[in-house]
Amino acid sequence: MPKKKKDEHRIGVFICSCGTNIGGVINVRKLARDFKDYPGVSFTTSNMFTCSKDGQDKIADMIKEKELTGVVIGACTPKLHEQLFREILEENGLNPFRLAQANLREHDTWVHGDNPEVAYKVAYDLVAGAIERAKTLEDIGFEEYPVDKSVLVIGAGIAGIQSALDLADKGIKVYLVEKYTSIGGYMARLEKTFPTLDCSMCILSPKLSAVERHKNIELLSYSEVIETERDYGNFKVRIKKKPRYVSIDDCINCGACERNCPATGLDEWNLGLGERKAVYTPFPQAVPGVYFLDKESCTHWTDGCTICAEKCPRDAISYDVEPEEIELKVGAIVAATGFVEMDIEELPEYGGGKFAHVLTAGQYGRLLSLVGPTEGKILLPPGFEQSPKRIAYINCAGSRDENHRPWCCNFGCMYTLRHAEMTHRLYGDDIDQWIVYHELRAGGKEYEQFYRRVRESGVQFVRGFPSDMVEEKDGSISFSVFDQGTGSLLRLNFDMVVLTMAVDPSPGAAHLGHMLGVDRSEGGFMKELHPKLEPVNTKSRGIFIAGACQSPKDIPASVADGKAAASAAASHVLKGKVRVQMDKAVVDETLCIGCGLCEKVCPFTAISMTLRDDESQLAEVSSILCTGCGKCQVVCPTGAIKRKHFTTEQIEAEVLGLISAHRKREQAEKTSGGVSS
Amino acid sequence: MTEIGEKKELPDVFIDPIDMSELDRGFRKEIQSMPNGEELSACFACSTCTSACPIANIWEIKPHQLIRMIILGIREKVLSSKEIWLCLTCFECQERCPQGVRVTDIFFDCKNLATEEGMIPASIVALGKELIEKGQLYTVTADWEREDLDLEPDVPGLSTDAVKRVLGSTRTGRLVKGGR
Repeated sequence: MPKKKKDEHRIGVFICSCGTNIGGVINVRKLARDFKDYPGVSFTTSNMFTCSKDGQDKIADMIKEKELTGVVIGACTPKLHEQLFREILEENGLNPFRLAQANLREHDTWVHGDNPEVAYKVAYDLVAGAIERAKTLEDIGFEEYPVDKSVLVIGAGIAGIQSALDLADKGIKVYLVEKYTSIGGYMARLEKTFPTLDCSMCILSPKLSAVERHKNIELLSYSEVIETERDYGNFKVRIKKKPRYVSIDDCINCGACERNCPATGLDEWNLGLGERKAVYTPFPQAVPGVYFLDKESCTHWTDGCTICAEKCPRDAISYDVEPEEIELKVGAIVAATGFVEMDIEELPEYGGGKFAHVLTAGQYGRLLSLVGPTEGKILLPPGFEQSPKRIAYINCAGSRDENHRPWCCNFGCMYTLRHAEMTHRLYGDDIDQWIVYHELRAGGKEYEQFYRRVRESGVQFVRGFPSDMVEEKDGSISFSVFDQGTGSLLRLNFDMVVLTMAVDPSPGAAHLGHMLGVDRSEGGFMKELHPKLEPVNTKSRGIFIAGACQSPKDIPASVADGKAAASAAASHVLKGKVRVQMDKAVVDETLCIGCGLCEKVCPFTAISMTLRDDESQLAEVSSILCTGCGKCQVVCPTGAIKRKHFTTEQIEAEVLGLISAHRKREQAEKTSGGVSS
Repeated sequence: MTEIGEKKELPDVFIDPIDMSELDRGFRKEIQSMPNGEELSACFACSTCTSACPIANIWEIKPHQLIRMIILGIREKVLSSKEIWLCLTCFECQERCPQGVRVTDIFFDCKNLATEEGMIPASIVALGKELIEKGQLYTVTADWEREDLDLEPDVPGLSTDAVKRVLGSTRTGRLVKGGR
């Protein structure tokens, strides 16, 4: 083969039919033919599926045969196959960044399917633009950074626990951070789980113990992440360990402190039902299984009480403990921060916060717990003396409501059925139970069968939403509901009303998401990279999400998520290094005037100003932090900073190619009174 | 109050709701304990029965509403409804119920209950009377039709005596005589 000139362009154009997605609207063979004599193009073809083995082989063969300098693919969105096509280029000796894609499907044939003539013109222009872009593309390399074989898991509910255990089993060092005094999360509050009604703690506590005993897991309970920072391939994390005032090493769990403690506080473990001592353990199987002193409710700092310290036989209690800050270096982070019930006071229309006998379902679940405030008996708050005769469960309280939380809470239907079934087993017909619902969602393995069982146990189902809710003099609650089943308006009265509350992400999720560079979706839930194909990855490399922080999830889904996030985080850290493609911002030192505009606009703090030898300022880009968003390129007054692979020249070339194709065709139409290019 | 002082108080709602105290919460169990009621509570209010029913468009209370009323305990209205007697017993609803509720058979149970409590339409009693007295519901009235077909005037071998004797000692017999 004759030696060709070095700066000569040899572009290959591959037009994809994508079945009928593109080929059903425009003539792809004609489109390929029309580019045969386009300047710089040395090969054109069309395929049924460019992403198929045949299509891939064709690209590979032509790169070698025609010694292509650039590849243009007219197909679907680069989001789908760009990585695949880049790899084919690389495997065949062409730099992967020598690829330009024209999105003929999403940008053209799907939009103009009803007008094939226009669609063809648009397709031609898009491909012409891509060819002009391909001519300006440069080789771009990559850098590699080492990654630590360690993972930080934030949140020790069932998702975080599962993630930590799976990672630790792979020989990876895990730091498990939990803001509460014990790990376990919401699942530890449950008495039984649906649909099997097996004891929640019986299946959870082996995992709690495993976390405590695993040599690869370092548990940081009652701690919070205060800062995270990217450090090349790793993350620097600062964690605040809040003082427990009871030494984990010295406490022998004898309970002398709690028995003698004179101070009380609102019991947050029981979701505000009743009180607990200022020094306490939330539940018998708590991990770490030692006592804990809550500074908010303790009177030591107000009136100098030291009873618990005096009663402790091991001198485990000390009031002079300061918060401690530690710094960790980890290779990946899994966020599993879970959910909370929406505040009941946001629902005054259901008596939330006003009527004493209106509870959240979470609180009702604590009543059912054998270690809860009523030891498993259903009794009316606040006195907990009498059992109700009639209970109404209101599903979707705040959920699926544009005025409150438009999303479905996912597990509310099922746990309400569980509550009704558990109550029926305990009280039989002594408590008349009504479930007021609108659409009952029981989509899980054996969930529907559970739903039928609850219907057959005699629970009354009324389809509709309540209104006119009032508290009667005797504390009972009346409301009206139009029952769609019978077509009649009912006025009902209950001793207790349980609200199946809408759920929100945990309060700290917003701040954490911001620190980790994770987007959030509707309602503040953390956003996955792709809702179907990348459910535990995020847009930040090395950051993964699991469980209800992404969207409300029940236990099986949270466990599956925890395992998935562990697998994803493990493949990230076990590689030992992270490869960073250098399609990032770069600074031309001769043009930079050190104005600092780029530093100001950079959303990822990737740009910093340094001093040159002559004391003038110079912008510097950290390629590991830069995501290539291009903001700096837009504001730079001298054109010194360039976002590689999307430089101003490359974008202009593409736009000009597009416009000139359009103009040329218009010209030709005017002169010949007819067709097309 | 000034000049409108004597104005009557408006009701809170314009349609009187059914108060919970009016519901007979034992009715569901009552029907459920009858031979056809076992699956009653499985109903999830899909209203397939109503869409299957060939005559539901003339029913004021639709088949699914009757079933839901039984579950809810609106006893009086179900047992006094004309609809349970209008049922054609074609079993379309029962065949199609995705939860296996024996809708048509439950309506039979309702009819039996209603009869026990004296809530039976006069037309049904008249039919019972016809059966007791004549041993059959439809007697041959148009002799000329049989004649045209070259048939003898009386149906050969038809004996209604046994039917009359047996029916006389059943509930139908007591019903026609006016007893319970």
